[in-house]
Amino acid sequence: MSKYIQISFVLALLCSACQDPVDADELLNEEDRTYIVGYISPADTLLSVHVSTTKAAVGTPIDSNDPLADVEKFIIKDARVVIRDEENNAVELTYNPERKNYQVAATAFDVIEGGTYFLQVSAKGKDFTSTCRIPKKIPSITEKITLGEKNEFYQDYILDIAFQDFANEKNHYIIGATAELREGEQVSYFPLDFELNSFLTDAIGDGETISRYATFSYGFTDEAVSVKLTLQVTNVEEILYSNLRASFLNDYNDGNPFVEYSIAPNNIEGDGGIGVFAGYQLTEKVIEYELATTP
Amino acid sequence: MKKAICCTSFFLVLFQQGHAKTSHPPSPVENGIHKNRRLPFVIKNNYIPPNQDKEKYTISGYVTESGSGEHLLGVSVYVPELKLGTTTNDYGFFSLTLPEGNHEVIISYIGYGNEKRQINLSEDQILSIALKPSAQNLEEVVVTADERIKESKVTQMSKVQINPADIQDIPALLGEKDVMKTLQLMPGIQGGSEGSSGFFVRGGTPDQNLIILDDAVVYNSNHLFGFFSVFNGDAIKSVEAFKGGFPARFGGRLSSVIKLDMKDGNKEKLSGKVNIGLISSSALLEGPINKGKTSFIASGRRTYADIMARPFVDSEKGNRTGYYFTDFNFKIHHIFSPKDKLFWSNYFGQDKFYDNSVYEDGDRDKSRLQWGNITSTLRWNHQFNNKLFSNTSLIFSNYKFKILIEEDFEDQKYEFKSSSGINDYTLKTDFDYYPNSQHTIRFGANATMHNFTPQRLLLKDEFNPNIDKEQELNSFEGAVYVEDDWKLTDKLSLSPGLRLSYFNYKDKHYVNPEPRLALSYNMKTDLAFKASYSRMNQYIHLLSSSGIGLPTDLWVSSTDNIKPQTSQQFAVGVAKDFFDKDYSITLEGYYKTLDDVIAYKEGASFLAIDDLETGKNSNWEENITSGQGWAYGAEILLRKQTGPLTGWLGYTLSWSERQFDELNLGQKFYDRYDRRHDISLVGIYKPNEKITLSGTWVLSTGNNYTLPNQQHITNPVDFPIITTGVYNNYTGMENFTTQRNNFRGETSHRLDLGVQFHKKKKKDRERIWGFSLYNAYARKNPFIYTIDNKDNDSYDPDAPIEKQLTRTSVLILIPSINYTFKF
Repeated sequence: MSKYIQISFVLALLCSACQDPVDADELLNEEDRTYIVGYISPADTLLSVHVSTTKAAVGTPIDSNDPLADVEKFIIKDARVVIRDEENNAVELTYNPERKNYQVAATAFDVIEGGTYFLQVSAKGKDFTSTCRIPKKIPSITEKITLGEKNEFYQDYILDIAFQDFANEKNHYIIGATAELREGEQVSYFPLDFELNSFLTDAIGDGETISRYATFSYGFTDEAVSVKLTLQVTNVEEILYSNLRASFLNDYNDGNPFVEYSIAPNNIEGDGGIGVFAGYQLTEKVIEYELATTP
Repeated sequence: MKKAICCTSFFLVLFQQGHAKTSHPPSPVENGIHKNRRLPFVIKNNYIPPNQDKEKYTISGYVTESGSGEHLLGVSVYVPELKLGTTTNDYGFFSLTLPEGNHEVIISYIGYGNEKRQINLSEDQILSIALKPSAQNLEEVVVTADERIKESKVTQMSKVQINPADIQDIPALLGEKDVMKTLQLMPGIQGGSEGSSGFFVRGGTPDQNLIILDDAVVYNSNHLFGFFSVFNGDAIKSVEAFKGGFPARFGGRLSSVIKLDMKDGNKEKLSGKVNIGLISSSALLEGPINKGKTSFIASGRRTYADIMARPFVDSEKGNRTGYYFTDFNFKIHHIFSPKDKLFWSNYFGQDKFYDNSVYEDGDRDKSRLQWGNITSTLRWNHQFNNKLFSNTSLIFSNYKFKILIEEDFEDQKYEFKSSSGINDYTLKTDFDYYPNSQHTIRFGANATMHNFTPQRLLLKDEFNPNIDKEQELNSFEGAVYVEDDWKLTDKLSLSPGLRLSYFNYKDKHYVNPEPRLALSYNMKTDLAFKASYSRMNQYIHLLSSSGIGLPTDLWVSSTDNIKPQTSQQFAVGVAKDFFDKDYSITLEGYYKTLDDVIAYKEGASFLAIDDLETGKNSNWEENITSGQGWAYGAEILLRKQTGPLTGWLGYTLSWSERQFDELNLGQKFYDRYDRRHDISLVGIYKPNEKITLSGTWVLSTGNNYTLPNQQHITNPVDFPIITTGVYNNYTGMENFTTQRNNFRGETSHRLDLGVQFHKKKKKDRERIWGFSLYNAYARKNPFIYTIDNKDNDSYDPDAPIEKQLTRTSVLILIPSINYTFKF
């Protein structure tokens, strides 16, 4: 479709069209902000919070040879990061240069279902705060794998994941799955792509069973191959859902002129603060499944 | 609600003030009214106009164009001594009731000579008036006194009228005379991006504009993604745009009514016009079938870039690629009797992209992308008597968008067909009743069956099961209305109206009253204060990609989930006429609220089909969200419509805001086409019969865009589920913005120039050479902005990755030439 639209656009522009770089400083750019991100869950072994500086989208050069090392300079390493609970128990997270985040072992601080937690960050002479609440954990996941299309080379498999929504409350879920394949000594991992169906709400029916599927393919082999599937359902706070969904959509639709840009929400309070501090609960189920051999 | 109460109070106060300041001596009855503090609504029967005691008679008839018999609408029929007058209706009919005696009736119309008739009124009279065109406006029609119904004398406000002759004279892109582009030069009517003919009226959206051609709704008014409009100016008789103060006879859209009327066809002689331009040619032929009784008009236009390119395309094997658009108008007018007339008007317009490819190995593929409108209107005029006139219309309107892809390869065949569209079947009846010189009452009803096909899909693929599915929505829209143009005094007139609209979709029924009110108070003979209120409902919506005007834009119905859009608009203004110079100036301010307006959700695809290969389509109801809007601003229009130099200066100061719970985190934001300033200057100069010089200059504040203006580190903390995609960003940075429409583009301005050389020949023939220059000083106005990677230096592999803001400009210095021959 885009092919035809593009061709027609070229015709439409007829005699003249030109592209020029524009100075973004006056038109677009804003002051740098402080970016703070932390997702906490009772299942965490480490509590992590990230603190860095946002940069202008336009006019910020990044080393093409080692971009990840280059962007490290945006990380704020001398911030003070504290998480408190409702009982005013506090834990301070310290900067871990290896993970490039502020961290503390989860054993030092209890994160429990239904608990409310308060984040305090002091960075660059400013104070930032945020609050999160830990949602309920989905008790169980059910699944079904059916055979999809096949040809002489490969077979499609349809993995259906289902779980029960908590009734009488608004819930947001992010679901996923990973596959671990072992062929002889070689082990490979790949995530299953639920695309936008990873992001689910109970808007379609409170308390009902929610299910979505993802498809994966595997080439026929002479010997039986077993796949270990880890099914994941997270019950997340709305802000986390909206934030990751906005990132997903903007990335998924990058360069598509027919889609409106998504705005990610922010729950970091304080002058120039932006980001998200949110709670979630993870439920996982591991299953083994034998893939089809050469027909 | 509070605003509504305030505004209603304001109207009432004004209303009372208006009556209190009437110039004639107060009658005893009126004195009594003041003493009793009665509301002015009861005054009407007690107002005693001059010559009240005399018998009254009615003059009625039709005003036509001399030489062609074309009915003229909006012609002023005025009696200066009584300060009474009317204008002809859409079919050239007028009725005016006057006291008996001798009167001078002046019939005048822009672009035509004045006609003065002395009548001795002792009985009802029928006048048949033929006005002569005033030789291309060259004759300065000096109206030395209060002799015409002009801007300051009508109750209606927020209405602009375009003289079709101006459309022919104003320079246009590639010489394609464009009704819609000309309208965009009027204050309050803003164009979208450069070159686009999608337009935004007083902070509304393009789908909130009701575009009607001979009573039929035209759903898609654009060709070539909005660069040209579908209306071929040659066949158009009149263009009126209502931006507010909507009369009750109009409804169904929130922001504007653009009413276009086709010519009826020359009843006296065969005449025509051929125009050859750079990208298209058009022809018009009109004439009598049965002289004086039946006439026809037919006009057509087609672009021919595809035909001209054919010699350069390898067409021997069957390869063929091209694009064209075409329009065809056809109308027949038949006069059964002076009181019964029939009109049958039709429009067909289509854009088509086609591509046939044949490969060396015999494989072939074929693609088609086409969209277009068809309208057909059958109208019957009946004059019951000299005070009651009716029109009944049977209308069909269709818009369809189709895609076809066929691949015939050696090892596989693939066929994909998709279409979407709308069919409307309408029955409409309107009555004009002129009981006396104080009232002009209109009433009527209409009923429309909407048949929407959001998607019809056929997919045949050897590897997948066939898909053949169709979505269909049927709904019914109806309305009854009544309105009165009521001249309370010689200074104060009021136009109350009520429209009751009804919409049905499945079990959902919407019934909405739509009150309308307009008033005009003449502070001086040539100066009027005006105010209006209107409430509108819109039951069908356009799912549009921000007004770019793509054919994929989809018309859909209100449903049980999607409520009708509603608006309320308050407007106040002054209108001043300078009779001796024939200038007019209007100044208006407006405040409009919009409720349940729709927009795409963030991240939702504008395309109904997400994936062509699988036919996977998105549910349009899930993709949209509803919210509210506010639009307010002021407009000035200084206009000169006769003499060698005509034109106007328009200025708009405006704001347009939106709030959707699901967009921009629920915060209010400025609409994409919220533009603070718009200026347009239009001049047409005809020093003699041989030459026409014209120029337009426009300036507008930039549009708003949502562009990521900041970046942060991608996925800085672990989340157990990989939400695909963001890991693809190899720089480790992710762009974002915190505000919708966070970026206002640069100011646009442009000068267009045109010149036409006319040569009159024998037997009323004329040839015209026209030259025009679009964007004469080559201003690079923004068409779209994007954030792209800066071009890397190919000699420096270590060059950093950096993004830049890029402006794409189109239509820079476009010359054109066209030749017209009239006979």
